[in-house]
Amino acid sequence: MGFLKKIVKKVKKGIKKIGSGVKKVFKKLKKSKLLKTIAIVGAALVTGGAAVGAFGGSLASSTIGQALIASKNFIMGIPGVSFVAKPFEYAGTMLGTGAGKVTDFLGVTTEAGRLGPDLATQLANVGPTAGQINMDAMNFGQTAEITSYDPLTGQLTGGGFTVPGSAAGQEAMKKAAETAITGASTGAATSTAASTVGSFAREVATGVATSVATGAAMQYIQGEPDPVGAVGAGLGEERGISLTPLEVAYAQSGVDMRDIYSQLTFGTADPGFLASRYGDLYQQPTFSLGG
Amino acid sequence: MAQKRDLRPVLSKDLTNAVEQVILDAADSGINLDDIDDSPRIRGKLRKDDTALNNLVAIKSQGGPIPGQSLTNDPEQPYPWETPPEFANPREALNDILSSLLQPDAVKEIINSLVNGASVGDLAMAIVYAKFVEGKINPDVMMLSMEPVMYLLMAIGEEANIEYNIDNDDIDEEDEEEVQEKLDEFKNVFQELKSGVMDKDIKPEKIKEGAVDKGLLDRVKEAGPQIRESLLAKGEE
Repeated sequence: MGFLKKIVKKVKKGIKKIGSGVKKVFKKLKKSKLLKTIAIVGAALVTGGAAVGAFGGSLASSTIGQALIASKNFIMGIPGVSFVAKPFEYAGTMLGTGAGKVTDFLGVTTEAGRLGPDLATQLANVGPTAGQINMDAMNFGQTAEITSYDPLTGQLTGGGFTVPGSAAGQEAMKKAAETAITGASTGAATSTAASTVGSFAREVATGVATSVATGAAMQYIQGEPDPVGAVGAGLGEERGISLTPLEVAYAQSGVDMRDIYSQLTFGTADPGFLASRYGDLYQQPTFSLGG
Repeated sequence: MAQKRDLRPVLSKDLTNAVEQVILDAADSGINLDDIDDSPRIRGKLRKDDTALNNLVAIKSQGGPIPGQSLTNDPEQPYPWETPPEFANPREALNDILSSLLQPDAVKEIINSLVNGASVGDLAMAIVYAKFVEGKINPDVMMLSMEPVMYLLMAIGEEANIEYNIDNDDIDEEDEEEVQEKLDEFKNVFQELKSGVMDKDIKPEKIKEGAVDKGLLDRVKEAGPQIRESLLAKGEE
């Protein structure tokens, strides 16, 4: 077992090395805080955040949190153990105050996610000026059904697709649509309202408004498209290889990208960690190629 | 809505190195670690227990296998560790080990061990060795799993607010660098004090009123040169 003992000593030495390195940056950081940071970052990298998930955003209610609290009576019964404070009471809120901070900068959690949505703050984000929309305000976890907005009547008609939002979100979306079609709909609607052409124009305007709002909503939901690398052009010019940041990280570590599953690596570019951070990475719909 | 922070891609075969890089990346992003919870902790001090020692002696006194005994075993009925391991891929092996450790019962036992003074290193060794004996992993994967298992045990200890040992009984071990820093600080203060005392011409008349008890000051003034002369001063011959 001597070879395992060597690893223990190496890890201990490594932790001390991190400590002295980090101390140069965080000058007045206490040793206990530093050790906590190192331990939690290490566990989060190893488990890809699963450890944090197991402890739970609100630790007291998670299964492991319950196990920690259940250990309290046993530990208090050990002679010689004195409690300066109430350690396990702190455990219930730890991820909200201490360790959560560590997992926040790892991107495993966000402060808002850990502490729960603050509706009042989110409502305040709705643009106060007519015609402005803050897409952040739409993410309330509630649903609002919107099919189209009629600029002439100023009414929203229900049915159709569902987007995340609330009454405030709908209102903001309505104002955005108003702004988008001001030029097209106002003129057309007043002069040709009674004619067929007018009716057609109104439908077009309504469609544009809906598309703008839907497009904005869908872009928010789906996020930005993946960046596509550009290859330099020119005769006789050697083609450059556009490496993604992930490929760069693997190249620097001397690991073949095709072999990453069988290599035990750690870090924020490790596929295990990425899978937990971007949960949908391995759950993307696949398209079958016609044949 | 709060967005997750964009992380710099960090990749290393050494977990400790990856942790260091991630923390330094956080520092570059201006994250302040002072907000981390730092409530009082339970000391996981190793307690001397005669019963445990007697049990160990009893086990040891039963004797070990005779050299070459393993060669007499039936090859048709090998031990689990003599068969191909269940997990040859370290990732899969680590997944299995970590998921078994993150069970409530296992967490409870780990906490109890840490509170009783068991070190993280010893626990990790016992865990990975048990997995090897069960035939789940081969010795190479066992060694690769040590470091991640240690970090997970440390994180569990931190969550339970335990001041744990990392290797043997090192909870009170002084950090060499810290000791050196304190020594340097002491030396500096001593130097300053020494130079300050030498530079200033301290005389009883210059001492501010109230700084020293008046009775004592009068006695010093009376004694005068007798006191000011050093005990090591060369006396008159």
